[in-house]
Amino acid sequence: MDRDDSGLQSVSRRDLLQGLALVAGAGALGAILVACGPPAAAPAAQPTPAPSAAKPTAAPAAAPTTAPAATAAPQQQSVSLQWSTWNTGGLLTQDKTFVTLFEKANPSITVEVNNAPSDYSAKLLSQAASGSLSDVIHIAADYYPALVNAKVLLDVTSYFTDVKFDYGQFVPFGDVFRPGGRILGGLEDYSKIYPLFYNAGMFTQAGIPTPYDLWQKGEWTWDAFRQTAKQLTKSGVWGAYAYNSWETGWSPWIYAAGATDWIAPTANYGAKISIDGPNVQKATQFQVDLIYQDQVSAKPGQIATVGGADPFTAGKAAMMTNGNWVLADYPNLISTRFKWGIAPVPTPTGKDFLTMFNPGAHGMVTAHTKYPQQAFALSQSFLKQPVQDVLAKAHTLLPVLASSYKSADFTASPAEHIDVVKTLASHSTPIPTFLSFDEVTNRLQSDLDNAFLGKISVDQVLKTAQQDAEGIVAKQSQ
Amino acid sequence: MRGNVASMRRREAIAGYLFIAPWLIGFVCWTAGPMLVSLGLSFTDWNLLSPAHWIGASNYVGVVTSHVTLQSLWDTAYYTFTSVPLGLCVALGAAILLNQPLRGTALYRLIVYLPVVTSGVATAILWAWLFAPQLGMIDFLLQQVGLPAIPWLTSTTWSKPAFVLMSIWGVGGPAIIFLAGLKGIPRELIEAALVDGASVWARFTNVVIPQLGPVILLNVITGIIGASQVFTQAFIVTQGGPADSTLFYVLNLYNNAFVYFKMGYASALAWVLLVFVMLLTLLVLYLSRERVYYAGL
Amino acid sequence: MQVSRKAEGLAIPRVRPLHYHAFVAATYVAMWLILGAFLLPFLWMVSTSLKTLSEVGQYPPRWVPNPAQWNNYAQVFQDLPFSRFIANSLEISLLVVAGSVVSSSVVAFGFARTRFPGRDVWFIIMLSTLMLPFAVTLIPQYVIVYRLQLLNTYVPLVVPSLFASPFFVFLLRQFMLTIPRDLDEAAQIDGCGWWQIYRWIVLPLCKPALAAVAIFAFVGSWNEFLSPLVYLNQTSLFTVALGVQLFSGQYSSFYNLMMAAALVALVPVVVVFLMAQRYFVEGVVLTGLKM
Repeated sequence: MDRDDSGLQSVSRRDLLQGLALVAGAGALGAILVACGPPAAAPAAQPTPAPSAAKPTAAPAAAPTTAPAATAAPQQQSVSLQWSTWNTGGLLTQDKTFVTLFEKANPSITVEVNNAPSDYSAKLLSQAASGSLSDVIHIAADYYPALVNAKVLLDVTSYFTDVKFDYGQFVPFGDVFRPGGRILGGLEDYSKIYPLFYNAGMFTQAGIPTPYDLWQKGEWTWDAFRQTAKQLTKSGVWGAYAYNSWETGWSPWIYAAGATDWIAPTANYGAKISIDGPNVQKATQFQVDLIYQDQVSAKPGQIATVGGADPFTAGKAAMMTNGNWVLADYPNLISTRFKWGIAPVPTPTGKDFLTMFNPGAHGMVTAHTKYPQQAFALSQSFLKQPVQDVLAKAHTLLPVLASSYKSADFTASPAEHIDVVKTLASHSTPIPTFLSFDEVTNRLQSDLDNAFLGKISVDQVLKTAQQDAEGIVAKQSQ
Repeated sequence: MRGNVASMRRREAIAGYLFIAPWLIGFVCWTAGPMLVSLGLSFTDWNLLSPAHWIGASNYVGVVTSHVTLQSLWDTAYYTFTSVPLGLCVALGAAILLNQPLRGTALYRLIVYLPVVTSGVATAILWAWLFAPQLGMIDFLLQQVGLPAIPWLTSTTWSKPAFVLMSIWGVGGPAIIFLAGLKGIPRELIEAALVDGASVWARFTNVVIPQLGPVILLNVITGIIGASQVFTQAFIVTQGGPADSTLFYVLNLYNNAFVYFKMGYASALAWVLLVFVMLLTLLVLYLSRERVYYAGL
Repeated sequence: MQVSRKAEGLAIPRVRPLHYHAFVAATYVAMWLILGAFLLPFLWMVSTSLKTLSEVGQYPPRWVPNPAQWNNYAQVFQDLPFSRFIANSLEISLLVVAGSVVSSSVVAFGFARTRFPGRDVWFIIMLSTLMLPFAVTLIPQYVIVYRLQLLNTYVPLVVPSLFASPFFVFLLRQFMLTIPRDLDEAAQIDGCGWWQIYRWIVLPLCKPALAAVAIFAFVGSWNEFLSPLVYLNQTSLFTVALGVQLFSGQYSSFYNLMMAAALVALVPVVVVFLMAQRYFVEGVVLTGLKM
């Protein structure tokens, strides 16, 4: 009785048809299952402006500096808030300090920090889609439009009115987080700018004036930059470092050249692109020339740029642009190997300095939080004194509270730093935000790679970038 | 005999279906269903937050006209057709060595297999450092023997070869399978060849390789399937750069789905990949029909 | 190592010829070269894990950190809830192992031992799903999980193992085919039902193959990166694979800590592998592995 099914029997045509029918049937069943799943957890609920009548007039658990709202905080039961941030390293330590300060001032609230360093914006959107966003989220301007579109931020305009928010104490807020005049989520509590860092030790050794000196004398032009870089380029060490990270390497020069309209946001989070404009062209060509013509900058891949070991911190490049937040890790990365300074990025003429500022908000309240009061309190705490002073002292992020600029911590820093920072803060223009920002900048990044590798001419690259960007914006779905 | 044959057969049939039910349910709900849904999605424009709307074959047109996607196809094809043959040769060589009665062979197996079980993320970062200019071991070693340093991950010419080399480190998986295959070769065949006075090479080509036929086929097919879906390393190390030279197909798909939220377009990309892989696999199976010896399937 | 034999009647020489020793030596050398190449990256990992961050970026690169920062390993656990990540990963992986072993053996038994209409067709279909790029089903699967409101839970990471991976089913089926039928035929005569045959006769005989499945399933789940990345949002739920990545941020990274974390993450897998290493190869061998 030896059944021979030790292997596959030959598959007859009938079997095959049977099989196909089975698959189709199974698939249809499955498809029906998917399509008719339980209704989506309504993520697209309208952001409810919490009716102000419902809020007791006692200010929500206030941050330390406001009149001690010793009023027994109306909510006595302990509440746990979720707060998301993308920071790691030194900035995460800073974030955790803020949380500790807040929890001390508000004993009935605990804050759980949710950390998602990579893919933060993608995470945010998928959380939004599933209704699992944290109560308060740390965001940058890049994906703010997408969040607004997804209607996941709480309209807190009335909250601001209720606590009689004193705008006068702050440097003027931009409109990035105030679409249509309403405050969605919160206001920025810091901004990032993009200065030029230089290795002061190398300048001293070479006996030449530093960028700061030249800037003070009004001579900080592109030509001066080139000259300086040439004087500092020796074997193994470069005077400058031109690199194609669109945000920290490329855009500072674009703005210095005055090309503020390279992306001009339009209504409904659309955008008009002018990546192939003359000023952008000039600035990109300048950078590429630094590498190939003047040879004062390493080519991509010549110097290690893995993570923290960028050419500047490794002591291989005398001058490099970057975002000011990197200062948080400089003590670790540079320690005492050399003294460094900052200066504005030079402009072609030595005048009209300009930088992009990229506002960020540590505490944006989300629409579905179960504890809007407490969430708003956390959000406000970032705008208040202890936090703002920490920002001022660390120079990692620019504070928005005016008094922080005058605080002892800030003024204790080297005088040059304060000068530069203040200048840049007052000569800055906000990052252009629109819906497909991420995709456009990703494409731009790839296109720029070709220019910086010296493979394709700058105007060809920018033309391609322009076409790509226009194509993406055209397909933007509302 | 209890009962009659027909009812026994029916009971057996029912039992059979019950036994495979776990897989069947999964297939319907988790595989076939989603496949059909993704096929449907590929004809729409959907960003997960607003309702999808039908746009016909527009996504597919987008796929074939997008220079980004075409670049990703080229990157993936290059990687697949380089890393699979090379990797399998190394795997076979390693397996042959591991098959020798050397001392400490268990330890050797562990070392060869260890990279396979190391966290993909850490591995990717590890290799990013090894390939780094100046700081990296690889350039350092190259220069020690007098060769020029190569700008691996920042050069459009060398970035893919770097990934191919990375994949060789993970060759322990196929190697173990080859090892199992080698152990399964009947001794009589080897001994018969020896009696006939066959040289090492002749033994290899006339006995070992043919006997390994099914195993080689298995490794080739799984190798192709795996290589065409390379993702983690590119995601972490290069993010597709420089200039899209390591923008592998699934990375591009991931970006479109989870970063730009263009689910419809991403679904179209997924189906195009499926068709490619199936065609490739069928081609491999067809080419091997005459050459692979199944000693009793 | 086969010693060449002439036709019968001749004694096997006691003293092995020179070329035999040379061959053995060459084999050892080749083996060590290959092992060296495989080990080098690991050595670099260990070296980096013991450096300070500024030492990591130094040129020329140094192999031996000075002084060795053993407290990096402690810091891994301080900076992040790494022990929680390990616990999470263990929980998920053990569940996956249990689910895989049970479901694959059940399904394999169905394919190997029972006859039912369409059996071979379903088997071919199952095998062909092996060539399905995960990208095809990833998005709808994500949607299913989201619709069922199971995002940010372990359900989407564990439940699929209950659906029997085709690879494991194939492995076990091949193995079961080599088990003689006399036993279950005898059992049937005694009145055993199919489930009993599976549970008490076939299953106990499958231990080597089951061990192989268990190891593959454990390792696969331990290192799984994409699914946890996509489905998990809350840091306290993260797995080790995600945890290791937390050491790298968008603008700065602690590479020394990350390498230490990765090495720590390796330990459970190495332990499992060493313990069951025999089964690993032999279990796969015993299936005959003839496609």
